[in-house]
Amino acid sequence: MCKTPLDHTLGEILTRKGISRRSFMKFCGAMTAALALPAHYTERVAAAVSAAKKPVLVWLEFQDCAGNTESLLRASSPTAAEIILDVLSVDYHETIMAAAGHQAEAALKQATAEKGSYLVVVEGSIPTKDGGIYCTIGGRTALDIAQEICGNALATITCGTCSAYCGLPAAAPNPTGAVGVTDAVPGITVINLPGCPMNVVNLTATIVHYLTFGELPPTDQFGRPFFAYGSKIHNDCERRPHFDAGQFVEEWGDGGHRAGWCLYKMGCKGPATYHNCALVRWNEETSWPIHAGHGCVGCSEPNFWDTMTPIYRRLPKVPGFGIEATADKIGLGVAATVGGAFALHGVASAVRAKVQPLQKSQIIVDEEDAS
Amino acid sequence: MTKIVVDPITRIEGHLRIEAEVADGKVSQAWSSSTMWRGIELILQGRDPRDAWYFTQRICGVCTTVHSMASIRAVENALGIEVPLNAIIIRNLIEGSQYVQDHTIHFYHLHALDWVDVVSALSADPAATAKLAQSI
Repeated sequence: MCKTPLDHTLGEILTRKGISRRSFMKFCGAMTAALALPAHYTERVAAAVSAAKKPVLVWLEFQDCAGNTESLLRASSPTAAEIILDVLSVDYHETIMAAAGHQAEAALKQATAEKGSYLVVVEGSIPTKDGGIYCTIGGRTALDIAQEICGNALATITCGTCSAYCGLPAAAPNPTGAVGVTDAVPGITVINLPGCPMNVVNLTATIVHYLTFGELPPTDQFGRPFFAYGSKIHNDCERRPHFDAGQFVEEWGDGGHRAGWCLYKMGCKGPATYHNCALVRWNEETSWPIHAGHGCVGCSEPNFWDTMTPIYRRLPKVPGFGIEATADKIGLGVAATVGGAFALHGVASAVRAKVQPLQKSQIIVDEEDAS
Repeated sequence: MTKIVVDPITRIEGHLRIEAEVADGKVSQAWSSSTMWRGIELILQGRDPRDAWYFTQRICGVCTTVHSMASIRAVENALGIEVPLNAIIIRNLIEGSQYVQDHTIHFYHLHALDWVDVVSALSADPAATAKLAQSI
């Protein structure tokens, strides 16, 4: 009997496509590093990915800007085409699929026919006000589609802050009653990959983790995988030595800005934001916002559009002096507004565990700077 | 008379529905609806004008840059800010980069499939194609 594409293992498909063992191992090495696994796991990752069958994946877009799709298309290692065509069987994706209208809807129906057999990626928030009329596809509301497709999926991966935590559409005054997937479809398996947009390295690594270990990676209190959101921007920042030395940009284009000093005083939200931007970077690892000279806006945090703005307002309290404590208090405020989905006690203890006491020498430097 | 509904229109950013009436093989009436709304205009009200570019960018993740540029110009216009020459040069470079990037995305990822018959590619003649390409 003739094998369909879904019957082939990924290893067979990659070989047939002419992907060399060398570049495949390079990809597995990069994924192992992104997942914060020891290097010797590379072989295990490679074996698992080679032997895996293509998981069926559908990509739903609701109140979105397609920024996460853009992020997907810019995947560099392997190329986006290789991820889409070889690693995943993307059976429905409005922005890049050839079909439209009835054909598109038929593709979605076919891909999701068997309950628990497919993964869903969601991009964009889901409006609930006025019966959910602010986003409809094929005459159905986003809420209705999400409840059916995500409700019957093996797991849902939210890409971007909108689908993870309701994002921009829910910024005050939230005109459309937008919510994230967890609130729209309670009780389902969801892993959140927030960011505006999410970094495709983290999406690929999440799927590789699933293929290697048969389960989704462990997550924090906001449903984010630890491998990508376990550490603050501030902790991994290449400009951190300047923060510790009290060297701050005071004005755009000043000497400190030209010398690559710390952007904290210009409103950088790195001390309150958990994300691996500094480590995995963007655009084939060439740069990321702080490297380019602009502060972090905190885009991977729930409700950052309201809690982290104005963008150019300094995080409260004097730099260096208890900044970690202050940043974590903001984090608590954020958690409270997220609502009943997360137990506050869990947040508090998780945050407490993250608080790093400042070194005495550091405080002295900052006192000197202040005087 | 036949009525045609195409929803979703794919390979665009956003959500679009087209309804058309066809009579004698010709479209006699057509309606287009954008079936998603976020209210970014309402969300922007009362915020720090220096943040407007960042919010406005999210109108579209494909042509992000042009929305932020338009927003920045609107704020500068409202406040009577004179733009330094270096900033103009940098903005032109950014817009130029966007133009190159957007062309690639739009042509190859989005509307190419309207012009290319993927199924026919299976019966294509690579040698004849190469010969044709080299003759131009």
